Amino acid sequence: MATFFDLQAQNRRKTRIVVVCFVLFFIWLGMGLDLAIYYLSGSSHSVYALSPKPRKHFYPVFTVIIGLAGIGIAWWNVSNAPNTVLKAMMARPADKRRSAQEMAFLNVVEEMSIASSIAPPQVWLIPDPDPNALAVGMREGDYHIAVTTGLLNVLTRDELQGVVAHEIAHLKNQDTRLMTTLTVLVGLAALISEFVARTRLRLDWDDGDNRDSRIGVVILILWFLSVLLAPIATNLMALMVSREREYLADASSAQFTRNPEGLAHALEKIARATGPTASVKPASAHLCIASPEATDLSDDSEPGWFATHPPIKQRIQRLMSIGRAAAPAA
Amino acid sequence: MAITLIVLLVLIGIVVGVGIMAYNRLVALKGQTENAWKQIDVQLKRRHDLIPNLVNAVKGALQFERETLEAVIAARNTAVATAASATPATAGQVAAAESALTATLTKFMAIVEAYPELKATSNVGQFQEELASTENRVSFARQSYNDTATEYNVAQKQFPTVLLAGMAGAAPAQLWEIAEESDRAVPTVDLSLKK
Repeated sequence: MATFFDLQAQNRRKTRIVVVCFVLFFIWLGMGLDLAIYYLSGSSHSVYALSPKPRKHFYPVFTVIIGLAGIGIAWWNVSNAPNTVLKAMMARPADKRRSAQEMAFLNVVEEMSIASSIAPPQVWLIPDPDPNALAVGMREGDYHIAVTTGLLNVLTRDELQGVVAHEIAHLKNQDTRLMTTLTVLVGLAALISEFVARTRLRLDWDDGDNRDSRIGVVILILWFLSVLLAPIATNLMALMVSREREYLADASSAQFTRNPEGLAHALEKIARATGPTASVKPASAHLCIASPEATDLSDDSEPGWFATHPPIKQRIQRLMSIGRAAAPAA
Repeated sequence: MAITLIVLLVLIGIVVGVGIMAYNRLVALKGQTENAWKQIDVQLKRRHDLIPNLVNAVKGALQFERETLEAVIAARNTAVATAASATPATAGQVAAAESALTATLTKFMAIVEAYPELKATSNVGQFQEELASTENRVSFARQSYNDTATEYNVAQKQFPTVLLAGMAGAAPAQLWEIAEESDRAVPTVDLSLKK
């Protein structure tokens, strides 16, 4: 059985791979443009009017600018991600003096951080009637758990405990670190793609007998394709990672609470609330315990390519089988 | 010749690397186990500190349960005294005092549960939640200690960590178990006479 130790190492490795891929992607964004300019600038026309003399010189202007800017923006976003995500959902800190519900919620989070031996996370409430929950955080000491007010309204204490334990498991396994990084990069890829799609780049070249300018055109076409396809690729990556993590967090939740049925019942209630979680933006969907889109409990088909979560019915079945194995034969 | 040497060096490198990882894993697990053990103490201390406040908060509403309240306070005071003079030799006494306290609290919570009109009073409801959470914290701290200690104990018997257990100063950790037979029994509360 994989321990938390192995899972953390695995997630750290995956986070590094994701980050390296993105650094390479940003470098390609700049370099592709520079190369295209280099090959096209020999001709009488050029892609951009800025080059003073059409001379064959390779200035890696865009490589440096886009590379540095991209890496800088990504780094800044990742380190501020918990704040950004919570603010976008209008989350407010939970307060034990406000209501008995919030007091129980805060207690449950404390209990589960003891059961999992992690530092207690910060606790937030999202004003939204649809039940859902999520965890964000990059490092220990900067962990956050947020649930919707709708969740507190429909769940019993045991069920809430299962949900909170699931979120804490994401934090402890360092899933959130990987997922937060992916969330930011998905957003950034979408932004760049949109920006390029809106830019009218003037494209002139020779009649085609020049070998260099043909290479330039091919590079430019590849560049456009990769920019336009990047959001789809990053999205698929995020989705594949997040689906596999959900089962793991469900199993860890059962380990912490020793009560898999709590989470199973909670998932059932969350699924039965068919409305979408309006305050969760699509970019942060894979941070949530259940897909923020409207759910259908009867659906147990294989998840589609763009599903952020495995079907709830399958998750409940797996949890109930843990429950049966743990309970004495009765 | 050179190839043999390189292969040999690489193999030695791999063995040393695996050894270092195994050693570090044992040391980390030892630290986690010790930390989990201290967490139990922290939660017991928290429970001791909280009980007088909680009892004070509901004393007025629960006049007719004076006896039960006093039993809780008495058990709490015994537990505090035992904990204060605790030495490794008296670990059994500490455990006994704590489980006596747990028993009185369980009984008390069952009594409060039986008065729906009391639960409606906000400070009794809060009191119930705090007490339930305190008990949960203690038992989750124990559970976490047992989980960590089990992982540590298993690692000491597994390959390759077993080879380095002596060097890392690893010794099997004792699991937290219910000591007395009487604690295994679910406490029964008779409420028919209380009114």
